[in-house]
Amino acid sequence: MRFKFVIAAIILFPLCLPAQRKFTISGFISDSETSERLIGATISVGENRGAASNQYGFYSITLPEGVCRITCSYVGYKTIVKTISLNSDTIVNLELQTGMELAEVEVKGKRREQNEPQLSSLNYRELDLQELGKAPVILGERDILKTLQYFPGIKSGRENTAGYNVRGGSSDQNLILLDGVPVYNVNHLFGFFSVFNSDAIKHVSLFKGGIPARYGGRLSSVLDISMKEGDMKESHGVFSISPVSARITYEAPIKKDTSAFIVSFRRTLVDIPMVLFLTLTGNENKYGYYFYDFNAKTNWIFNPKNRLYLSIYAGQDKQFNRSDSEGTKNRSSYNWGNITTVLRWNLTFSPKLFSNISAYYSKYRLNNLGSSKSDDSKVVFKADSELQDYCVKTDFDYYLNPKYTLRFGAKYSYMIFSPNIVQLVGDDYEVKLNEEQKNRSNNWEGFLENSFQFGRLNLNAGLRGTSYNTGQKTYWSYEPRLALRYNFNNDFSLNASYTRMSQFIHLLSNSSLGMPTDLWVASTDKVAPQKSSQVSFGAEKQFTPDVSFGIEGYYKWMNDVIRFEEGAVFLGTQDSKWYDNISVGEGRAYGVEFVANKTEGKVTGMISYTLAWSERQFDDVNRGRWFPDKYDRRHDLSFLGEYHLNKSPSKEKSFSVGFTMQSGNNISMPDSEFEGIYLPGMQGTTDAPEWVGARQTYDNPNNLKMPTFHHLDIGYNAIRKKSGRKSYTWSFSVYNVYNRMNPWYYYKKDGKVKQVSIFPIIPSVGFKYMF
Amino acid sequence: MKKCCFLYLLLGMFVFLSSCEEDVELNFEHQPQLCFNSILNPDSLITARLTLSKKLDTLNTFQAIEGARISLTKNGVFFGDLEDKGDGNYFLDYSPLPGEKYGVTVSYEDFPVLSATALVPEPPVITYSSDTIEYNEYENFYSLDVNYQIHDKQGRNSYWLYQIFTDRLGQKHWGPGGEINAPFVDDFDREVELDSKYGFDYKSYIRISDEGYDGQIMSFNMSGITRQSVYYFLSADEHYDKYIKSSVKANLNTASELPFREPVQIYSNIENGYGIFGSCAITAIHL
Repeated sequence: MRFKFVIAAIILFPLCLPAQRKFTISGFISDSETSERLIGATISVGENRGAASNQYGFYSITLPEGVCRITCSYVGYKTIVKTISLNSDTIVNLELQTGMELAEVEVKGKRREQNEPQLSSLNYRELDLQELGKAPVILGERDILKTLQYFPGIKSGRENTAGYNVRGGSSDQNLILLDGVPVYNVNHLFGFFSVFNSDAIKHVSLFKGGIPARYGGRLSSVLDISMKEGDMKESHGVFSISPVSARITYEAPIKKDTSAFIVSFRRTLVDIPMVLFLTLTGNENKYGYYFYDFNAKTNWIFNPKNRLYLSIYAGQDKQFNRSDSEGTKNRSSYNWGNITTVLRWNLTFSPKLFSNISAYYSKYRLNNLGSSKSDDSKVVFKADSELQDYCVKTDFDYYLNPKYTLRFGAKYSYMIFSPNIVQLVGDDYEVKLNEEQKNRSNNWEGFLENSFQFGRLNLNAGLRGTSYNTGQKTYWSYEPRLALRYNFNNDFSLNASYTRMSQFIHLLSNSSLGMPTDLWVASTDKVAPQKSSQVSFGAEKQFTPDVSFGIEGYYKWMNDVIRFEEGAVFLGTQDSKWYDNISVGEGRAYGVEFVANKTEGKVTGMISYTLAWSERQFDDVNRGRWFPDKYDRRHDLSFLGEYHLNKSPSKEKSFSVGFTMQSGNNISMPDSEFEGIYLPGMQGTTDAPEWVGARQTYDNPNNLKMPTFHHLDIGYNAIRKKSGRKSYTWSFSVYNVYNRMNPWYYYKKDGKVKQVSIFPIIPSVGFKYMF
Repeated sequence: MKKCCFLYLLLGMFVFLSSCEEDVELNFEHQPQLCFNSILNPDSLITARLTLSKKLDTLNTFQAIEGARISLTKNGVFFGDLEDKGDGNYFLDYSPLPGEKYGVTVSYEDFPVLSATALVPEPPVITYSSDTIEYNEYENFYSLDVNYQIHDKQGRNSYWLYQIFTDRLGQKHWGPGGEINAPFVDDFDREVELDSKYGFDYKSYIRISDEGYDGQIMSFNMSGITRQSVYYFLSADEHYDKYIKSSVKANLNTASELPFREPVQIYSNIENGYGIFGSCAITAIHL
């Protein structure tokens, strides 16, 4: 009871703050060349007063009457200073010019603090998209989800897959938002590539701990990705090609300074030579695979207070096979992909109150079709899994004074789950399976978030409440959030956070491959939502303006986590109901993360180390005893660095290095054999299976630790800038320079254990042309 | 069966084109443990086996343990020691009773003491009626369509169905039941099989759970044949049920070439060792 009172006091106290006679400067911060709104740009007045632009580039700062001098800065842009005589609420839209300045070193060090000042860089991270473009990659494909994996506490499931695990959580515990819309399947080609086209992305931020109350729905992390908005001044584009895919992005104003659009398309190239070969050789059988992504976004500024955005993403993987033999036509196909679309309305009620109202739709669908038809018979197999999410939500940012911002909002979503609906049609039968698995849910959420500053202390306290209704049951969830950071001086800070999260949807996965057959399923009357609580404590030290060091410890409890029951598989001909094939249990993860950054100079980079534990407990597994999680990796060391060989207005050359070394994954593999016992009456029969007499097992799940995983990658980037926006970029990469055969998986055949490694040394080249 | 072959093909192509496969020696450290197996059955005297586990893929047979002390309790009270019959076999001239709870402890040299308990279930109550489909002249039997009813008792019960068939030469054959389509059949080993009567098949055993049907009559049809076949309805206690199910799952994993099945740890209720101390009661149907 006392705890609840304290929480309520923290949340509600700021509402009682006395009002003071001051005036507000507000507006939007944008790029002067494109009018692209800038997220996290800094406004500062004097030493101690400042604000950062929000996700839509809006800022608001309330100051005493009189003349004030405001400074606006952002990484990669020239800082501007304006003097304003403040005697009423004033709108000041700021446009920053791209370019480098000496003062930028200082700005860069401060930017992150201003954006989420209560969080350390180990809990909150913004991806530098320019650095992303220079990191060494595999097969020439830039991928934000893979670059994230250099950060401490974030690791991929298997080598080179886009799925990632944060602080001992599973990959489905990461909320991935594209323009505020959850993306349910982020994988192409078994997870080797993610669905995000880096050419169309403007901003990426990641929360691992101290997650603010405005986010919810997953246990472990939030990755918030914003697409570019479209250039309101002039048209331009990007064309890129790699051995895997080709991408083109084009943006242009519809009406100058009023509306613009951007479209981007990416498609794989690997199927084209195959189709050509089959055609040229006269082969009547057709088979192939490709994936594509399409992004489009447009926005209109109706007046200074109203702006509308419409974003669409569609991506799909398609695999097909057609063959005709002896009068029988065989067809099969696998199609899976996402569609998301969101309409957002930015409404500025007053200089202090900004709102965003959104309506979105997100859908993931997997369709598997197989048919065999001849003149006298027909067999059809059809399987569908689908998840649809309809949502309306509204968020408000209320800038009460320079030291206090109140955020609040509400959300309603209606979700329809149709996992693994199977239809079998033959000449004399028609069977439908799993229709009873269809599930609908209504989800109401609301949040209140207070971000304020007491002297050197930055604090964010909030509460998120959720009501999730499905079938006959309603689950309620209250999620207090608290994050604070105390700056002892400009160089050293301590931070702490508490985060409680709940998750109503679950990904059932047989592997970490990002298989299309992974099923998103909802909490049901019988399957409760997952919940987690995380505490973290850390310290950071800024040694010089461009060199920093951070350390953070965390402990995370997870309740009602689910996993496939032993022996379950959905990627086979086994046909089962998902809720009959799961185990529900507990999890715990704890560890310490270290990171050192160097952000300026000829050599820049980051080195990180994580010491971690992650364990699970299920009543019906391992006799209810705790066991290590599949991704319980004790040690993890990563390095990402760049050496700037040459940097001038017309050309830029850099050399990059990436290195990862970490403890191997755990796998379960029988290591002992003991005598079995026959069923009564079975012994002595001629068909009694041999395996009954000898059983193979292991003492605890994940009993085998795979060898240490490591690889070194290098990259070389050369950018030649031409007139205007034109530039050419060549990117050369070598993945796994010393050809380390990291095990990807093991299996047993003929009594021998086989190790399969997939990624040897792989050189690649990519080309990008901006016009 | 064709459902995923093209997906396998795609994954296989990717792996084939880019992968490297090699045999590896995994250094498993195995410390031999005692394995105790005994299933209490009201129709039989108590027998047990005690052996040692061994490292996987070693060719030697399981080492039988003689000279161990195996003590039985009934409802928590010492009941008697099993007699050592040699070669790892132990025996007690006693038939367990349905509804009674038995416990066992096994002591042998420096090994940790094994212990476990089991509650003996009641024999299942089965009624049935049949329709003749055809007569097999060569084998001299009738094919039947049999309607069975399991009269479930209150509480959690699990039933396993299988048949023992005796051929003309007098040889006995074991097999799972027949084709069946009923909502209470556990689908853990159900696989899509387009050629079968219902479009799917049960690969090893038929397991029927009374979850959702507690205390009700569970009725279903299954094909059967006269004379040579005995149909077993085995009611297993919780431990034996989990042991059979996990063993079947483990075997399905071994038989499958797909590496992405969830691994299976074989269930054991033996504290400090391997094996099973379970119980069952059987109703056998001769058609």
